Amino acid sequence: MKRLLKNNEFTVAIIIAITWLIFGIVNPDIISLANVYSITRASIISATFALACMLVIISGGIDMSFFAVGCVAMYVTVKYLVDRAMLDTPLFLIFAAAIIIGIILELINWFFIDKLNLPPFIVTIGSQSLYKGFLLAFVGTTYITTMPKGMRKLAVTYVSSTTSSSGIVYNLHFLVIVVAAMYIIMHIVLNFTRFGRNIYAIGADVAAAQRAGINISRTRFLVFLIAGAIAGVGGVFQGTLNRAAVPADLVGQELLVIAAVVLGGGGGKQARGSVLGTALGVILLSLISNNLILMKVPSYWQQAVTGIIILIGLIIQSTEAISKL
Amino acid sequence: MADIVNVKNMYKSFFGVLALDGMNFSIGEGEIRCLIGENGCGKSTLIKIISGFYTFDKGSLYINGKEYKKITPIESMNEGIQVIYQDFSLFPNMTIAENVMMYSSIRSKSQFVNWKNMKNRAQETLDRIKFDIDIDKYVYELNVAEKQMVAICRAIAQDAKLIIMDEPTTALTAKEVENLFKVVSELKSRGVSVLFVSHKLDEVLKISDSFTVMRNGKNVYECKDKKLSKEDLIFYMTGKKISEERFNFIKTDEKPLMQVKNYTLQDKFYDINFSLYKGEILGITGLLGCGRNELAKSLFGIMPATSGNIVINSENIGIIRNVQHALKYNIGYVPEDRITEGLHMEQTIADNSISVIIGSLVGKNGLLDDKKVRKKKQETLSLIPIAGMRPLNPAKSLSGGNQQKLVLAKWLAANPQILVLNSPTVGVDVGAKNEIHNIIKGLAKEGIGIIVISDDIPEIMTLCNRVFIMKDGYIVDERNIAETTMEELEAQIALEDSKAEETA
Repeated sequence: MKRLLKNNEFTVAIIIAITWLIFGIVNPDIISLANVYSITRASIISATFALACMLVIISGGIDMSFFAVGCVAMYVTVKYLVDRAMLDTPLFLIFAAAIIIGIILELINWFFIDKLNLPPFIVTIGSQSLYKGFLLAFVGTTYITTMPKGMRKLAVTYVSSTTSSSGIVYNLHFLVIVVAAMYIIMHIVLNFTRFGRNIYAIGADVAAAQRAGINISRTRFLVFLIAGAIAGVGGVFQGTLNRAAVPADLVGQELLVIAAVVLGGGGGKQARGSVLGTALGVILLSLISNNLILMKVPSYWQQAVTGIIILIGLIIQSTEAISKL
Repeated sequence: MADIVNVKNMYKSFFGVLALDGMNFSIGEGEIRCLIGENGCGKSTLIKIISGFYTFDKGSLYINGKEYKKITPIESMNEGIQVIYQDFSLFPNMTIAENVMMYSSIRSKSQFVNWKNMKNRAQETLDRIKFDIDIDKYVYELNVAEKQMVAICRAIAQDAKLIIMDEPTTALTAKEVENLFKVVSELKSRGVSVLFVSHKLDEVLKISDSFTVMRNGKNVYECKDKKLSKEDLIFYMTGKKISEERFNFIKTDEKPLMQVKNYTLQDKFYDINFSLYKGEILGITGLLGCGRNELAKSLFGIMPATSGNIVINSENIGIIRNVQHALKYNIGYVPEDRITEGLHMEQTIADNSISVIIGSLVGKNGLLDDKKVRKKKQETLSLIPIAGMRPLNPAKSLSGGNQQKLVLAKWLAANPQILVLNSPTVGVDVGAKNEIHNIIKGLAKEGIGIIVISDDIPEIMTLCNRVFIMKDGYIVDERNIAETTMEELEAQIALEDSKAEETA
């Protein structure tokens, strides 16, 4: 039991169960397949970006710029296509363009952090502001609502649907499956490849990793490269689900995603972030914010409740904090 | 017996300063060697050259009979040389199994991780030195001794022929040291050589087959004689005869300076009762985790006690609630960890010297009085001579021993009547240790009451006039140093240790 309590994934799962149960007592509709579908859909964006953020956190860094990177990647791609009336461009090319832009932007972060040895927190706050400002100044400030056809089609691709007790149809979005697949691939990479284990090693102790013969700079390069690719994908997801390209969308809300990663066990002293933990962290936060809306709780209370649950989660995970209570 | 490493007439300099000055050194198969010398004598330079992290300027390096003009860390590892650093270089977020196999699996160039195979091989390695522990435990859950075993296992897993251990016994209890020595003997019987780099002479004298003493980048003495005395070793290390006289306490005041009554901190220590007299040096010793550390911190208000009271100069002051409260009664505290608790490493030596009394140097306008500050800095730094120091250099430029002197000086500036010293000479070499002991004795003669917390029994023997032994949070024994011997004291602590084992 003690061992299980130390396990972050387990504690977050318990908190999810308890929260769900409490919400269910207040509003029985919440315990339904329809609500599961709606929560998973609401989680798509944060789940995607959380994956990028988690990777950087496990490697011992922090990224405050992933939303800015994703938004720039998506908006630049969409604007280019829309301005040239290339709305028929196949979906995979849209993703490819966004991924390339995402990679370039995250590798700029890598250059400052790894090559110039500057603190990741400050670097990525700076680049967040830079990317956002650059986008607004040079690319455009307008909302684009005539999206490429591929994205419009993707927005309404569902794999399953259910009707709630009140008669509304809820769909399981196709992207939920895509995100789940990304999580599974990431899990395999992190746990069963040398590269994945090296990320954990440099996250725990750079000097020790160097002594072990790990190429720190190359590992970090790949970490930022993958994070950039994921952020690019996340940007396109956001544009798709939003059915509009909004410049500097999401930017400023990075901390909730980071909170999800930390709740799942990443970012502590031990650098033990895990894919399952991050997934659970994202689900927990979506569960709270989504259902408080259903329960007609005012939005400022939502923020307070989210904060309380994050703190409770961290306290439970920290045996040190428990012994002081 | 073939030599694993043979270094001949080696020179190495950094920015014109000679670190190795014609060093000769060799170690054979299955040999347990101890490399000793004071800080800055070139020990770590030698090790870094052998392990491939530094190149050398002149001389020759043979490893397993093969001459290397220069050697990379990977080549050195491939030759079977493994260094276990003081911090062990383990990954706390990984299991024991993964840590043990980490280096081998990186060197195997395999891009995938086979957990089952890895665990099996890790378990085999642990079995080889009879290290009994669950290999799925995370390293952050382990204590220092266990971490060290994991590091040793990692070296064995790579077929190490020579394991170099940097200060291996510093953080271990007596029992753990014994266990380490058992493992080292086991390694020796398998033909693995071990090179200890250590300060703790009493311990290495017990285990090593031979010694190499370094001074100023040279091999000044080498012997295979186990009967070498500690005094001889110190002579070769420092180049001077150091003899320490025991502290002689003369009670000048019948009234105790401080009385500690039923002092208790839940889960840490219980019912601590003692009196401290003016000019006395009181030792508190015991194994790691016996509560000595917590007691020291509670006497300075860092970890306030939960019940009991303290009487200072007949005034009952209750519990020391916080550091400000302790300062009010002129209690000074020298922490165990100078780097994080004792000094502001990036600040200058001069600034550090007045950091305790800075509040009293404020002028009429509420700002610091520059004249007073400068005068006080000079006064403070003249209290304890620190050789070769420049007041405007940062504190981190000082050696461990000199840093400790600076910590002492900064407390002296505040005119303390009681000084709590927590492991005052940890990580300090013999010469500086001796100087610090003499300073502490001098302070006691001036009438300061001093409490020394230490697990260094020889230190307790030369420094204190009385000693308490703590166990599980209680004071279990009190001895007058004049009426006991080192062997008796060690036996007493070991006895408490074995009792603890029985009840556990």
